[in-house]
Amino acid sequence: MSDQPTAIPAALPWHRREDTWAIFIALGLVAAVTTAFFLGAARAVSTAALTVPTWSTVASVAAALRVNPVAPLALFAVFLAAFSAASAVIGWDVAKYAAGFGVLFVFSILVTILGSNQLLKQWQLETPLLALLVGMVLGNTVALPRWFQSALRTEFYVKIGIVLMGATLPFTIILQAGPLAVLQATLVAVSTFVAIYLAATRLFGLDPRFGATLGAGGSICGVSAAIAIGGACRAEKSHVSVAISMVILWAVAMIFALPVAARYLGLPAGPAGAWIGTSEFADAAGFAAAATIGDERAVKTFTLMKVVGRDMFVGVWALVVAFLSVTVWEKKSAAEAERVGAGEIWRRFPKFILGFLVASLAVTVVLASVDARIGTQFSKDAIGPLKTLRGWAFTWTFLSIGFTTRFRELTRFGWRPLAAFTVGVLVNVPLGYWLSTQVFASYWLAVK
Amino acid sequence: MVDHLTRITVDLREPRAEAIARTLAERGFSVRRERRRLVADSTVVEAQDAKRALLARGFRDREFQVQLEYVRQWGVL
Repeated sequence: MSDQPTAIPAALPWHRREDTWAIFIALGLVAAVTTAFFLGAARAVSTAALTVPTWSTVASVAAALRVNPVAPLALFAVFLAAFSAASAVIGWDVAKYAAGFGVLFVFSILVTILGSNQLLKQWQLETPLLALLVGMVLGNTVALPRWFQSALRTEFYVKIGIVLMGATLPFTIILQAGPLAVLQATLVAVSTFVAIYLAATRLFGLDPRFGATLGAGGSICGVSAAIAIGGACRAEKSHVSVAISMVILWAVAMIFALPVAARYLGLPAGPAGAWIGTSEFADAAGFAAAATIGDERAVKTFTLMKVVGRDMFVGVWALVVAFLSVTVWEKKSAAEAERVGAGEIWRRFPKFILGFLVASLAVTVVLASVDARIGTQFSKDAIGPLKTLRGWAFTWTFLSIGFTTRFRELTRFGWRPLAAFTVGVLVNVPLGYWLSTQVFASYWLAVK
Repeated sequence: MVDHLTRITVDLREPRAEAIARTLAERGFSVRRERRRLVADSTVVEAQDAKRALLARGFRDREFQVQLEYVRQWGVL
């Protein structure tokens, strides 16, 4: 989109980083909604939390939207203000971004209305898939103007959605299911990483750094892992790009395949979400797949698996791979090899996860410090609107995935990395299914 | 699909810190001095190329640290 190179986070001060602003915006919303609730202004919050009910006739949806005609404008105004402030500080062109976000917002309203149609819902074409499809069709057939492209920031929106997800996921659930999610994720991630790495290096003769980057993309957390591990082991730029292509191709395929398979196999929502969290390759794509299940429990178990079980540990993987890189792959002893500091763990840690944990902890503390009646009211009047706002952040994510996935640009790779990555898919998907639906099924079924 | 930053840091207590900095500057790195270290950044030179160049000039692995950071270009999932 831009002729300028992308700003490298390490070279930016903390207040100009995307993660920082995703945390600010989402935690700001949580704080604003909570404050409004305790000041007795919950109605003001619900004004911006636009929802579209399931409808079967145009008259019924029009009537539903007329109940709160200010809602679309309020929703737009809240996020436009937040995103414009973020753009100004991060250094994006505010005017172009605002114009692009306006168009993206209109698309999100349209796909949400369409995705709430009873007939389309019966065909499983709910908002997440519709947003993806609309974006993909237009993104691959129409030349999108640059000012519109500037608002297509998948990572930014998904991070805001994940932090808001924290506010709707009690910290007690994270503590209870977290260790299990870590165990399941570790089993699958290690198996998949080793499978891809060995296939890449032993079967297909690829460079070990390339193999590790492919393995990370297929096992830890998709593109983010390919970037983090590719950096940690000093993989070539072209190798990181190929690994990213692999992740995107498989992630997009899995957005459609995993929910269809889950329905065909009759999986309950909890294990289905955990399977998607284990076997989908990217956060944003995984949220699309989990949301397609159409049950909040699937989104919760997906988040536990993906964010808590997998994403959190990318820094540890980076440290291990960095050490392997300067010793084993460079054929040097630890004493003579370049130093690798433990700071690598923090440097590669996805910081938005801190926002997710803080949001969860804050809402859990609020709920624990009020009586049951107020707690129930808080869940309805504060957490409810936050879920709605989270839904909008994810809809912009899914539209952005669709608009920015250019299939023509994903075909520049050889058959060997594709084959190595596919070996990982053949390990990851069945193993994730077995662990989610057999070994740990009772845990995932217990998540409400 | 990605842009990169190759950053090489050298502890100022290393006897050959200035020589490493000069070598990196010759290869197009922008070099700055911080309190306890020299920091050389490049968004052009790849990390392994820079390391090979330093080793070829006779510097040893433990005299410097290489950090490589990739970042998605716009639109990458």
